[in-house]
Amino acid sequence: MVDAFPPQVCSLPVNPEPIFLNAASPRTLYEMPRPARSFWLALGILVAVRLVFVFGAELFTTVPNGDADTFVYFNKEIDYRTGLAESPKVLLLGSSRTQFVLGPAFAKALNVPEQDAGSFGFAASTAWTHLLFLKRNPALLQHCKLIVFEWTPGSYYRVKEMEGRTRTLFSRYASAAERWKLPTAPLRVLAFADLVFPFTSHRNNPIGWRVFCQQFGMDKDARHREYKTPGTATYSIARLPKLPGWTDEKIMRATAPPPEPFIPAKDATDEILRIVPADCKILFWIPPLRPDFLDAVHSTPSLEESFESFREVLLSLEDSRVNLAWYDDPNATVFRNRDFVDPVHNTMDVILRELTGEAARVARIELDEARGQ
Amino acid sequence: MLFNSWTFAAFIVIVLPIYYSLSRRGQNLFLLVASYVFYGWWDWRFLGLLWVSTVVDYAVALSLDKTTSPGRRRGLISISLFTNLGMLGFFKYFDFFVTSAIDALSTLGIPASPPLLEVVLPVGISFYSFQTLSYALDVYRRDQPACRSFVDFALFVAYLPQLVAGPIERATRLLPQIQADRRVGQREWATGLQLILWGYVKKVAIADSLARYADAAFTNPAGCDALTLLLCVYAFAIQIYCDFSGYSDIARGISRLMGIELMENFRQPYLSRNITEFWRRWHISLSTWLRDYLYIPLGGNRGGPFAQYKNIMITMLLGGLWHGANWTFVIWGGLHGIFLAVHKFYLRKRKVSFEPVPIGVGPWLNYAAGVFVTFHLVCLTWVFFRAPDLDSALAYNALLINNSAAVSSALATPDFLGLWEALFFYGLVIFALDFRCWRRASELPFTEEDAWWRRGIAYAAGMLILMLVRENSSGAFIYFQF
Repeated sequence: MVDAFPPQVCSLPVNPEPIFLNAASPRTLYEMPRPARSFWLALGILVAVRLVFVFGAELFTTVPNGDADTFVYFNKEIDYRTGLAESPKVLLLGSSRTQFVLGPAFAKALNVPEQDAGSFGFAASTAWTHLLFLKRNPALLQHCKLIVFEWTPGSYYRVKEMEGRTRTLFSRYASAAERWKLPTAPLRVLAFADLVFPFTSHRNNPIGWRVFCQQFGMDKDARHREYKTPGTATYSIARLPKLPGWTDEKIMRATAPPPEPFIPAKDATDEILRIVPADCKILFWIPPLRPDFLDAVHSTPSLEESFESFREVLLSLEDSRVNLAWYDDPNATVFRNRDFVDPVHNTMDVILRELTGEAARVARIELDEARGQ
Repeated sequence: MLFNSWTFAAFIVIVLPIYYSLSRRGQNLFLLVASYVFYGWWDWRFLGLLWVSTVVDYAVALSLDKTTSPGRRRGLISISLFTNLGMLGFFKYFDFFVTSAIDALSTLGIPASPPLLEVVLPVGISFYSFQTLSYALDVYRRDQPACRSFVDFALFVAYLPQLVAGPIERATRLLPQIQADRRVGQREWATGLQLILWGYVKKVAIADSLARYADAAFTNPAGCDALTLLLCVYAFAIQIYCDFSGYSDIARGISRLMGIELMENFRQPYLSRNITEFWRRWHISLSTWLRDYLYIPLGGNRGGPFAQYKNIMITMLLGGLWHGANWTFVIWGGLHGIFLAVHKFYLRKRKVSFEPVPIGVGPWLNYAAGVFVTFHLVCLTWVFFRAPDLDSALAYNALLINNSAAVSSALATPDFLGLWEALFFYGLVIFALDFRCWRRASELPFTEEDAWWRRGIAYAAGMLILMLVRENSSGAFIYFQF
């Protein structure tokens, strides 16, 4: 009879593989492992891959990383490095809320030539992301007269500050000092471990590596065309208007006050102030939230506290170049509930028409003030 | 504390050197404390249950050893059964049976609202209850002498590599190893580290990467077309195999570095050519447990074919229920029971060979057809295993067969972007690893039979897949919930 259940198995391996040579110690039952040739070969391959990442970092920026935002980020960088004759006079650095306030439209609303205005919004951006962008593109600051940072308490007090794209970018580009300033020891250990082998910063899912193989060796324009294949285009388009996953609850969680601010956020802010030229104004622009959500913020002590502490951080910067534009009165804003797809993100129509115009309006006021001074 | 967490990595890096520096008695005591820390890290309050199980079975076994009176022996083993199954029933099944009774009464028009416990299921209770129960039963049957040392026995119950998700070890295998001096030589280092490497590749790279597709499809099957649903069943089939066998490999690898050999829990189950073979290769520690302590005591194949079919069905239904307090698991077990019974019936009509590797084109085609059919039968049962409730499972199956969803292809939506690539890539990796093991009847895909440079490339490839080819997220092991 063939039994339905298997006999008990003794699992002594057949021909165990000696990655370690015999180094038996006569004094103990425990032997220290001793690497064999196969081990050294494996290690050699890993070292070689590490060196490829070190010396070919730009090559790997073609990878969307399974995340269109990362690709957009790098492409905006590449656009700037290769496409601009000189730096713009007005720069908007924002988050997902303003990533579709596009440069040319922003310039038009400001009534300046296209090359005089630049706009760079990165989903899930933080102060550190913006600092990184400026550090990697120092030419941006050469002639800049105004930088508008579109920040929110949610991005500044990001609870999962080392998750997703932020973590990828941080692990890839942070200096040793920045890694050391991470708030907890495990995060610090992981950030330094990534220096040894980039298991966080160069990790991709299979589709990411497939796209990398496709794009290997292509120039920028070809990469753009390739990126806009039907699959990825559907991916980008599908996620933009609906912003899946951004429920009210998620926004509430994202903006809830953490026990301590992400330490590098404050450091990054200070560093931004340090690298921005002395004659360049800085405006922290916190665009309107959905009115009913703003009401909820003011009636919820924990949220109100979070928003207040963020405001205090910005007001405590003590820099004459800094100004703050904050829309925290639900009755004073021109935006209505229907203009939002969730508590913080506007509909695409509103972004293209009104939010772009509003960004230009506050920037114009700052520029006029600067001129008046 | 999860095996795939940095906390555990730090924990084991501290534990191993201390363990090596101690004498055997010291090692057992230290390992016991470490095991309690490991378990208590999740929730120290449930350590009490572990201790109750340990103390009761230790005392019962000692008493069983001393007495020859059949009546008294039956009474003693009843205490063990009552304690272990009572704890399991109370924490795992109380709410399930009460809710089922309420549903049954409401269909009869009788309203009832008894209180529910709504307690958290203690991690690993199904595993350590069965392990300690098997020890008491072995002593009762006089297959195993009672363990005199409380520390040794407590370590047998709480041994950290297999405490929360098995393999469910037998006292006849594990206790002698705990009571003997251990040796960790080059063989243990080589095979243990390889098991850990491939275990992490399975869990962290493959299972966790495929999880997002299966989760998305089972959360909202109505939003997917039939092809997507089918691919996501495949994704779940690979996910659960890599998740659980990955855990088992890591557990066995870590244990081997401690000089203790744990039993093999999986042997390339998806390369089985029929359902009987599948159950010889899937969750071996549970299936042998059910065979020895349920199927055979029920009568096994004694009493004719229909008695055997009945015993198989009872065993598989209870085996399904062991996985969780949900009718979906009962259906899952029931389907496997039916498949096994049908296969038994088929075997009575026709002799089937079980050569490890077929020879010639015809046998290979036969083998491939058998693997294909078996895999899809198993996939059918996975729908019930994965779905949150019976209605969802039936709806998923209905959509698989006839889906007129408005979406032309859910594969183009963000949730499923990359599904083809992921299935192809990870499926290829796990198939390559399993096929090598299967052809050589080996637990490891690479052995000293391979050239050193081939092994070196394989280790590097494993490390690179683990570190560079996966999603960002990493989740808990599926079998922790059982």
